[in-house]
Amino acid sequence: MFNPIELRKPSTLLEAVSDLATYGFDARIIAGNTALYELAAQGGLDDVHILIDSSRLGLDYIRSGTDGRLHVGATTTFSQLAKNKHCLQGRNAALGEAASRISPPQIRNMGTIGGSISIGLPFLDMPVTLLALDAEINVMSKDGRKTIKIDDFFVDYFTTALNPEDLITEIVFPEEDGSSEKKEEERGGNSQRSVGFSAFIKIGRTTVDFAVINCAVCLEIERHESKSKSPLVEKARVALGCVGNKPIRRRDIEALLENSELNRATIESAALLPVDFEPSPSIHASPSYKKKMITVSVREALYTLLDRMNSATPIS
Amino acid sequence: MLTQQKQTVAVGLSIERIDGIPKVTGRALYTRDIKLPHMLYAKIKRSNHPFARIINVNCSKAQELNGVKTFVVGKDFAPMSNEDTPPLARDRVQYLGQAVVAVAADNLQIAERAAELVEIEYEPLPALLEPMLSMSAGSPILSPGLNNFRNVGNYLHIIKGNVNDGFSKADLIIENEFSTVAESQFQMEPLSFLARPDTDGGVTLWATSSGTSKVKYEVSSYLRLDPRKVRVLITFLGGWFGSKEENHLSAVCAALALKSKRPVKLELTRAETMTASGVRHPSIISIKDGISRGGVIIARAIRATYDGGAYGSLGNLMVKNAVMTASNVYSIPNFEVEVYRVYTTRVPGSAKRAPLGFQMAFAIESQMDSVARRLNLDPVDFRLRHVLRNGELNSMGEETIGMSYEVALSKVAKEIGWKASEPPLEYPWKKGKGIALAAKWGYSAPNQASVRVNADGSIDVFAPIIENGQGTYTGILQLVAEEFRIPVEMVNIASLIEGSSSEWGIGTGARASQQMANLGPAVIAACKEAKRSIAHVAASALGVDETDIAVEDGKIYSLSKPSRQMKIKDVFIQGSILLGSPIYVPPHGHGEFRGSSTYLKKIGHFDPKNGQLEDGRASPYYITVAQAIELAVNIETGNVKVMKVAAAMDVGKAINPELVRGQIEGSVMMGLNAALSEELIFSEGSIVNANLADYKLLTSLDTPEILPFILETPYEQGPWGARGAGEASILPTAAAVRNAVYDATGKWINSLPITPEKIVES
Ligand SMILES: Cc1cc2nc3c(=O)[nH]c(=O)nc-3n(C[C@H](O)[C@H](O)[C@H](O)COP(=O)(O)OP(=O)(O)OC[C@H]3O[C@@H](n4cnc5c(N)ncnc54)[C@H](O)[C@@H]3O)c2cc1C
Repeated sequence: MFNPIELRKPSTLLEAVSDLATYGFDARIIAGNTALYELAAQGGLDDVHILIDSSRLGLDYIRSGTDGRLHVGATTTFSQLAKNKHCLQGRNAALGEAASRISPPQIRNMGTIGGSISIGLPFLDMPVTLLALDAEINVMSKDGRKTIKIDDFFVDYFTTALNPEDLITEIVFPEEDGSSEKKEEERGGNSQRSVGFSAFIKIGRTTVDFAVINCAVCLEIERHESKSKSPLVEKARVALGCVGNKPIRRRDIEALLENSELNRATIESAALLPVDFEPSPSIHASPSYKKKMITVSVREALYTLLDRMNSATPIS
Repeated sequence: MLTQQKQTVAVGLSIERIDGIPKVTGRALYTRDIKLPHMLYAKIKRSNHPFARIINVNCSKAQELNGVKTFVVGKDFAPMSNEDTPPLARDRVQYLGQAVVAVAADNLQIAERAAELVEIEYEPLPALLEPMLSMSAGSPILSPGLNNFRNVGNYLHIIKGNVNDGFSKADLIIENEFSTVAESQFQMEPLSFLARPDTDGGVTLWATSSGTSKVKYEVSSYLRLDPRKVRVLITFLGGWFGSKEENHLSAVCAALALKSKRPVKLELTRAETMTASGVRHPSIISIKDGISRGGVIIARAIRATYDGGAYGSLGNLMVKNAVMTASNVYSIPNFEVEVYRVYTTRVPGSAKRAPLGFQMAFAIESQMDSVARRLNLDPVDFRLRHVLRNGELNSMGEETIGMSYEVALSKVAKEIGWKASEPPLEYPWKKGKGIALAAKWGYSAPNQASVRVNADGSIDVFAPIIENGQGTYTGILQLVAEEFRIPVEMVNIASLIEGSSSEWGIGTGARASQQMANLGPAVIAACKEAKRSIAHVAASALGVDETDIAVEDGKIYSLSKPSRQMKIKDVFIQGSILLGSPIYVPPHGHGEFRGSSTYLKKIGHFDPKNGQLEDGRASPYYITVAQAIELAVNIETGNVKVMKVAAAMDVGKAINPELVRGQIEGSVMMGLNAALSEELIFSEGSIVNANLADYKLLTSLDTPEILPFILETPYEQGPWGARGAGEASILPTAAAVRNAVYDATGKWINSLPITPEKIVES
């Protein structure tokens, strides 16, 4: 039975990480408490005696940094994400969309982006989104700071790359305009830069539900002047949740999209690439249904992106 | 006579419900709110086998725990009939989660720990998890009394005409099989009980139950107590829907209190409540229709098998519900229905809104559409061709009285724009419309009520009313206000403060949508009797005959000489005892005016041999319901968005129209849930989704526009003609959804729930 004996309320990051280092497995960070209480009820916290409140650490921010990248503090709630303009447009649109599809509102008001990825549940909406958006996770511990790439972050059910003494401080998203420097070099001095778009699709049974399949796609396309031309995909990240022990990328689809023009034909052939793995069954959906929903959600995400690209003002 | 023609002061008006403000301000009293000094907390140890012999129960380790006070086991209760769930298992457990031992301790944590430490040794037996398997030859027999019946606990068979003749004359035979699943009632309030040992050796029980009398008599027989020593109080209930029919836990709580000589509280968790409340019976129903060249059903045979789970509480009533649903609505010359309720080693099948009838209505109304479409006939016209007319006999040989099938069906068809052609929706959405019709049975049982007249003309009502959210406190209050023609504020429903007491008289409580129809007449008769006793005293004062006196709006007057009148307070003894002032007794003074009454309408019984009604009626009245649904199906994901539901229900008389509309809306939502989403998923007899994340319910965001239509064809014996309003509107919903999904996609889904996956994969 979960029987916490102390609630620590650190007001600085240093205090927080020193608490984590002192108590190790005996302690847990508590953020929105929307997952923790359930874990406790299931008997998953029987060894935990100390809770460390993360609400006074000043980690609830969304800002565009001097590096041009978007920085989101770990205790930022879904409600904050769902209404922040940085998370509603361009390359990060999927972030706001995913946040607003998390239901119900009570959970959006309390649940945090940090809690959502730390818990290690492969069917939640943030993990798959962050995977598509190529986010980086900034982590602090008593030993200092480190950055974990999202591709390395999710490990298994209830397991991430975090150590018990690690505190997530923020999640960082690449520049709106893609990771530009390399590309400029590749293009031999051509100053044209790419521009990013993203979309999030969730298929559930009812309006308020966990996903049966969720899918996030981020495409970086060559910036172009005329709308008559189909956008040329430079980089694609296609991520799926609810299919196994962690969110995965569909590298076959990414490969097909990259260096292709995004149009009806590309979208159809990308979506129809056979799903050559068996999605994990659940009491809510069979693998066979999930496979179909993967096709449906990828297709819908790509059409959504094509629409967005076409309605975006071309910048010369 | 005079009052009949006057405008009503309360009946038929949508007055504000009297429990509204107490509830939204958190002041309404529920069982969980009550705490008594020195109260212990109870916890139940449950079986982790679907079927096993109990070899040994060892409480010694648990006993050593500090703060543990008492245990009770199966042997502490009088043995019951094979039918009923024993309060605690005796020799064997017959479903996973069955209560075996109960412990009471100083606090809940200790009680929980103690329950964990109770050791039960089992010898597992092969589980029988499917009714078909359970019925087959060679299966172990679950209850000694069932030897001759292959685990069939209850059976009814109704025959009209000769179906085989009918089939041989038919031009076309259409046969379909339909299935439904176990659902939870999922009322808001989990089950709770509180028992206090009393000085007379008896016990007072607060129980989340559907009726005071049922608890009183069941608990007294389980505990071998004189019924007078079991007093039951039922406070507000946070929803019911059939979840509170099983009263064995009241007995467990009472036994712990009597044994420990301390008050004991037993509060179930959500997951425990889902098991302890029983489930909606899963069913398999096959319907075979023989159709003439002219497109008329001339023969119908229905065979319904319901999974009754481990015990048979209410089993006889339940199969009767199925038969009454099947035998009404349509006139079919050759007809047969066979209903089996079969024992398995699963959670007992219990009541949930329109139990067994819901499943039957789904099957029949689905079949009606399948046949109509096959014949290329409009489903509304096809139904109208077959509906029973008033005066005609239904398939049980009962006269059809006061039904409004045509009106109800036509009304909802019109409201939904049945034949209107509308522009298609944008891909991938496809629109569909579906319709269904049904009749809900009534029920009869004795009810008692009494009222007391106060000197200021206000009335106190003592009636075992159960308020589970439907609004019956308010409805009963309206009857009383009307009877005395006083403002509603002048009526006090005694139950409002502390709940209803078993000591106020017999009451069926809130079940089978019959509370208004059966308790209502008792209340009205009690009011009349109180008025008679006032008239008796006032007659000499006014110098007129008793029968010439009316009591109305706080006044007593002569009907023939209206100028002769007096105030109610003038027939009372006046003065004060406490202040020592002399007691003034007016010449006609009297102490107290009360009226009380019992109401019971006898109903007929089925001959167990041929299933024909032996005498009278199977149900005192029926309630007509029709619904038409418009929805959209996403043909890629299979998601269904219900857009509009037109729902008509003939309640006889809406004592409070707004409350009736609430019942229609709630029933429709519950029906949509059953149609599209709800399912208890079992693995090896264990419920794997006993929580709200995995047991999926629609929310307000999935709620369509619901258009409730109240029809009022009076039921002669009902109060002001009222029938009932609680359950009927759930009957047609699932079939209407299924028929609309076909309209949208061309796919017939014959099993509930109609999930996105089924739509995509079929
Ligand atoms: C009713 C309900 C509906 C839901 N619906 C959805 C939905 O539709 N979609 C969806 O995606 N999710 C849904 N969720 C899940 C929800 O997203 C998660 O519960 C939430 O993201 C957890 O965040 P939290 O801030 O509440 O974390 P907490 O519960 O406080 O913590 C969760 C875990 O993260 C750890 N943690 C928290 N912050 C940090 C940090 N900074 N560094 C290191 N570790 C940390 C904690 O120690 C704990 O182990 C739902 C949950 C509920 C209860």
